[in-house]
Amino acid sequence: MAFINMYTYSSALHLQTRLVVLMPESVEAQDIPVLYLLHGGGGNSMSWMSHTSIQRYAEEKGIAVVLPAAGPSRWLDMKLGPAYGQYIAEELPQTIKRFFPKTSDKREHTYIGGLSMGGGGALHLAMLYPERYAAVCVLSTSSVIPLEHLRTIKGYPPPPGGEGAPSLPQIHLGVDDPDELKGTKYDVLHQSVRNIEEGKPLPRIFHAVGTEDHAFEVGLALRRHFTSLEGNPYRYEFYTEHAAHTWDFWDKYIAKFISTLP
Amino acid sequence: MAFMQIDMYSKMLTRQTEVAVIIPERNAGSGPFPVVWLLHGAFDNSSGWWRNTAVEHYAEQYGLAVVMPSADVSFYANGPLGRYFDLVTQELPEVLGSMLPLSRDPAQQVVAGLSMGGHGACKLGLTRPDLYAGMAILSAGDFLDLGNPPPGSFLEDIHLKLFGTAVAEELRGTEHDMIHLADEAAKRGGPLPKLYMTCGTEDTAYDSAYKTFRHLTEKTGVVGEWHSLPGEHDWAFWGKVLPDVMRWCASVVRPSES
Repeated sequence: MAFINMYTYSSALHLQTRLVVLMPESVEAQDIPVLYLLHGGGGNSMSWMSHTSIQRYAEEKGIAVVLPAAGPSRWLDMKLGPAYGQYIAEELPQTIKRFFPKTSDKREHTYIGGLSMGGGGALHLAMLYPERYAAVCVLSTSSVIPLEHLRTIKGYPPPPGGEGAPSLPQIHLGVDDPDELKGTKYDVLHQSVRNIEEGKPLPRIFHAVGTEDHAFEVGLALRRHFTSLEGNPYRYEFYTEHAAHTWDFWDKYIAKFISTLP
Repeated sequence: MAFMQIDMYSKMLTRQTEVAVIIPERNAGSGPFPVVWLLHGAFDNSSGWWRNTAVEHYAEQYGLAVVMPSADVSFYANGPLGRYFDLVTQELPEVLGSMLPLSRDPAQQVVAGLSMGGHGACKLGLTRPDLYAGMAILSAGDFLDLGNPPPGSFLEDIHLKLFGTAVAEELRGTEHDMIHLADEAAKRGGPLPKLYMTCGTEDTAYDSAYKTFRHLTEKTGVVGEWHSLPGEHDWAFWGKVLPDVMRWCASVVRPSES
């Protein structure tokens, strides 16, 4: 499997961006499935690489993996920064198809996932763009509007601008508390119901969080919501075990998610 | 020649950041090596300089280490998305200086950049003259001279998000006003970095760049050289002037040999 560290310009962000791409090397491969895998807060394109065996799992399955970087964002269009949501969901698939023509651009072979902040980003984008993803892998996230108040550690990481600078919710969303966006398109629960009402295709949801994780209560609330939808239209599956917010857990469950792919 | 791409955690940005570093192997003994802090322009990142010019070749020729940070569209200031000024002036010298054979002596440091990076070189050199022996400004002058960004443009969006205003005049007298920084530095007294400035004659920044050069050298006692040659605001120009910029950097950090 090829490990590709690349730099290319993003029009959506108006920035040179770095991408790590894991690409099957087989010359016979066609219509290669693609997993967009999002890192957590403070991470970058190397986070999944350094801390898990993602390359081995992708190679065994024969899928491509794209590891973008969130920069200062939470994977959504920023109030005080560039449009990362558009970048991931709209521009990046075109970029990948252009440089790697044998990758699939079909919804049924396109997946998105992430850990922590990346799990929340993946879920948000899957709800905003359900027609783009066949499945979403949500690991240990509490970055889910309107459930963030259920996170069991309070407060936010320090603002990147230093003391006295605008808070993360302010730079990300223009609010002091992300849960204020309840009822808007950024409300995952609300969007999930709208997608059903509007007859959109619905991604399968694979969700895992450890019982000792500060995101566990958020996870239970997500489970309550998705299992309450009649007929389980998102084919929602929940996994848990005695574990905390750790890389061991994410390594195990990304492998498990990949094993559920066709 | 060692070329490194480094992923490291930055406390000043509160996230992983990328830095490209060139360390001489052949020409220059075992170090620690003088450092050129080479800053990219707007919309670029740590890969711009090494992908578009032969900077590694000249780093080897002159025995200089080169550090190329990633600074988003920050104008090299501490702002809401990160403390980029502190990243380049404090954190990278400390972390990379500890990990790699980089000189920590201010007499062996030059800060250089193109466009927004030129603005950054000037900002860093004039705000912390104690850290740098030289500053090289390519294709940049006091950008306030260029007036307000076009309404509705992406540049206006950047101004609003970063500076809080799209009215250039409101930035007079602030940390983003190069003339102001120069005047303040002169008032404080003490040595100021040597200056190298260059701009292409077809570049819209030309008049502003030359005016800034005149002010720095005539009004604030900065010792400098001005290089005007045909060219635009593009990599063809920056690739063309880079060899002479590197020659000058070497002369600043090794005055006895120039």
